[in-house]
Amino acid sequence: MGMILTVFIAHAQSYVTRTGHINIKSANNVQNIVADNYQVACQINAQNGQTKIIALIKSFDYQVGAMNRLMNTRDIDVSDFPRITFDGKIINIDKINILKQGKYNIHLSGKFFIWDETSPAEIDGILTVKADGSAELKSNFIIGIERLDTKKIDALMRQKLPKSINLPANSLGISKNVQISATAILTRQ
Amino acid sequence: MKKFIKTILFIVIAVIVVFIGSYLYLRYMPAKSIDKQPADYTLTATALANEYNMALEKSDKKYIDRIITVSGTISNISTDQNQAPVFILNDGNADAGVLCTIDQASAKKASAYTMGDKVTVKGICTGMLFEVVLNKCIIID
Repeated sequence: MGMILTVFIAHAQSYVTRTGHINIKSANNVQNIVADNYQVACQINAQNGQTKIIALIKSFDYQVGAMNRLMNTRDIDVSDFPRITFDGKIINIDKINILKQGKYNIHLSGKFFIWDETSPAEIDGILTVKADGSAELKSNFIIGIERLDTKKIDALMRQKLPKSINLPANSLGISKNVQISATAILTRQ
Repeated sequence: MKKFIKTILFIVIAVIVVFIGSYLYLRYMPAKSIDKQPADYTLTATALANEYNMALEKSDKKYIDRIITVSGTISNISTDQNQAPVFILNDGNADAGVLCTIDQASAKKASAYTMGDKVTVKGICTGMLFEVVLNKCIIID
């Protein structure tokens, strides 16, 4: 079993999915980046609210065909940091009855691990407990990347992208915000 | 004079067509099909998963973005939120599995499979979560 998620496995009230969906949107001057990942792993401990959401960078499919071709080649090596992880907790889990059908507003507090950066995260979402016992988690939020200075992005691009398409981050007008939409339908483990 | 204007107009239209054509080409460029590409590695689901479980970082460097042909027994079938079939292959060991999202090209073939069937798929490795993850898989047999 993947080491990354082993810590939750033993618990009786663990809700899991391997096919969560994340859509990301990021604006820039050249072409807005829109991508989908349908292989997102999510695990929620229904007793204490601990939540882990992990997406593999190479599982993203980009709306622009050329970007898809570029990002999903061996030239873009992400093996040092192949995952984007949210590790946190539903802080109002005591207000949720996971055994009772209904819609619950939830608040997640935790950290994002993206590449070598760790950022605190406070996310609102909706947890819908369905008649079949599954739980659907939905959330729309924005990750601000103000703290990432463009020098770091330039250095990363020089390292990872072919020279022919290396452009300074400022010239691309990369938006400081990435919009994220996440949906996960979890079943009891 | 008329000929000059006609020439300029022709050049402008040609440039616009080239720009629109280039944009559409880049925008809708299809993903490279792995059907015709040879596999970088061929192994069983158990062998791949065990290698990953033994050495995660080393396996990431070895297998991410590589085309892998993997064979195993289907222990779980589901559908992702893009309506693509998803197989989990293992050979009775829940800790050594491979998750395979089936490409549209093989979706019809995938519907004929049930749990317990043996299958061989070829896909692109993107890393490991609960299981080793293969994307854009086609069914070999």
